[in-house]
Amino acid sequence: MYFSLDDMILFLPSLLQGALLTITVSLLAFGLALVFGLAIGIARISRIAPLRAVAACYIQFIRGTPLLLQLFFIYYVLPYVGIVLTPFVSGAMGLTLNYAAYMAEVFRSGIQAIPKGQWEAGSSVGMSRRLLMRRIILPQAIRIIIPSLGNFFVSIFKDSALVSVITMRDLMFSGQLLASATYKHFEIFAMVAVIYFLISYPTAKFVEWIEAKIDITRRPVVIGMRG
Amino acid sequence: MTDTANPLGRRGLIRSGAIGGTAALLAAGTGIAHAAAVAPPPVNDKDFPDFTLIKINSDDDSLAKIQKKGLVVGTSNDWPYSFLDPKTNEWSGIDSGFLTLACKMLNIDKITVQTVTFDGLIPGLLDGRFDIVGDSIHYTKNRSKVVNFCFPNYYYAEALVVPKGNPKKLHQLADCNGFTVGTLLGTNYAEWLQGIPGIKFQGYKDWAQIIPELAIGRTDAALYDQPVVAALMKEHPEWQIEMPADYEPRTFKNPVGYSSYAFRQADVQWVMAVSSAFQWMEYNNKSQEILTKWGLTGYNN
Repeated sequence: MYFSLDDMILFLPSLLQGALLTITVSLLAFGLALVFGLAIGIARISRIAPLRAVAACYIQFIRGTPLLLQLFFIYYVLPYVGIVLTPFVSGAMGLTLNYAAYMAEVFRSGIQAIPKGQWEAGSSVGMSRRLLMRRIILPQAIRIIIPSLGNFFVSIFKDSALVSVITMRDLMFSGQLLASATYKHFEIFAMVAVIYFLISYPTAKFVEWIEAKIDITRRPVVIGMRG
Repeated sequence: MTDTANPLGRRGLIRSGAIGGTAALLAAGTGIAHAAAVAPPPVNDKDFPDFTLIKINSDDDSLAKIQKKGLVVGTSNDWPYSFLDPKTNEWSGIDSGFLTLACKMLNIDKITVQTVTFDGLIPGLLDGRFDIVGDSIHYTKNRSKVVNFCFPNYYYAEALVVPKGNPKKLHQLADCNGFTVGTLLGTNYAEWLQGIPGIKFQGYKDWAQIIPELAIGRTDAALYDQPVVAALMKEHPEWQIEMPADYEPRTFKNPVGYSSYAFRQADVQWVMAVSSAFQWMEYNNKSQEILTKWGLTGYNN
């Protein structure tokens, strides 16, 4: 087997097109998962018991089944009940629902890591629970969970490769299509690997930059224990 | 006394040695070239007394190796060609019929089957995971660059499959301009469709995924083996699909449209042996028996 540079140049445009779709679906799913994850995380520690139960069930169910199966379910099973989604919508939805469940647990852990004294201090100055959450708790919680969220951010670009099974022409599927037509598996999958890395590496650097920017080592102070 | 004056001096000795050695090597080389057209390894003369293998001008011993260690066949569980019978878990189908008989003729006692997805068949063959793509496969331009094909043994055409009622009025591939057409990844159909500008190609890992896609309209048409679609439609009258009767197959009765098997290009002895076995089967009407068993008759051969 020989390594052909001409072929690689020929393959590049369609792989880059796939990479663009990988980036789009990953960013979209991550943004939506942040919103849903926060909502579910807060529901998980809500004072309303049924809401707590629903959130806990959702998290357990999603974490207890493979992402691959969830994608298959959305794409191939939902049409039987009349819900026909395009590959892009199915892929984005599957990734969102899956990541939201994991992020909900991260948000919950962040919120619960804030010392009780902060809640007490807030309510003593007359803040409502909602205002307290928005002004006092969440800003501090987010600083704590940034490294975990950063982890998810880096991994979503690679987990999105699973959407190739539902015929979405992302980077992985573009590679498989080319390989099945040209049999140049070595060149194509080497290129796919390099492109995934080129996407992930700046993402990891971006996460590091954010961590430095918001100074995650600054932690909330436990009132009455430290100065 | 100088070296040149004495032919038995040290340099002279080395020189004459070198010349003699080269001559010996040349003689040996031509000797190998003549001896290369060796007789092929013994085949099953007891049951098939009139079957012989041709001599090949090469030192390739791929058939002898397979006779010794057994044959590993790659299939994609592809009914009715090459699949594992769910009841018996045995390798069955048309290709199993052809290759099992060929193995019997070629003195190959052990057959192991490996199942992969269709687009994994040629890569698996090239990687040495199996010795033959034992699953109906056709000659195409791209495939011919990486594998070798044996004597082809039966014919079937492709069909265009559309949702029931043919809402988009698709009858030929030429009508599909601007529409989505799906097929199985790694097939010759995938290669054709990707080469037709204007058709939006949709590749699937599993043929069974395409039927619901057609019914719900996510794919406008599909291209697949006519006998498979016909048999499945008979079995599942509830499926909301149909085959436009006026579709003209792209390789109708063209010898290149005949089904074959794929081999590594280096395995010359092995591919020649299988080709000889298939020719013997065609000549002795054994092929027809296998095809009839699987319901393929008439133009299928």
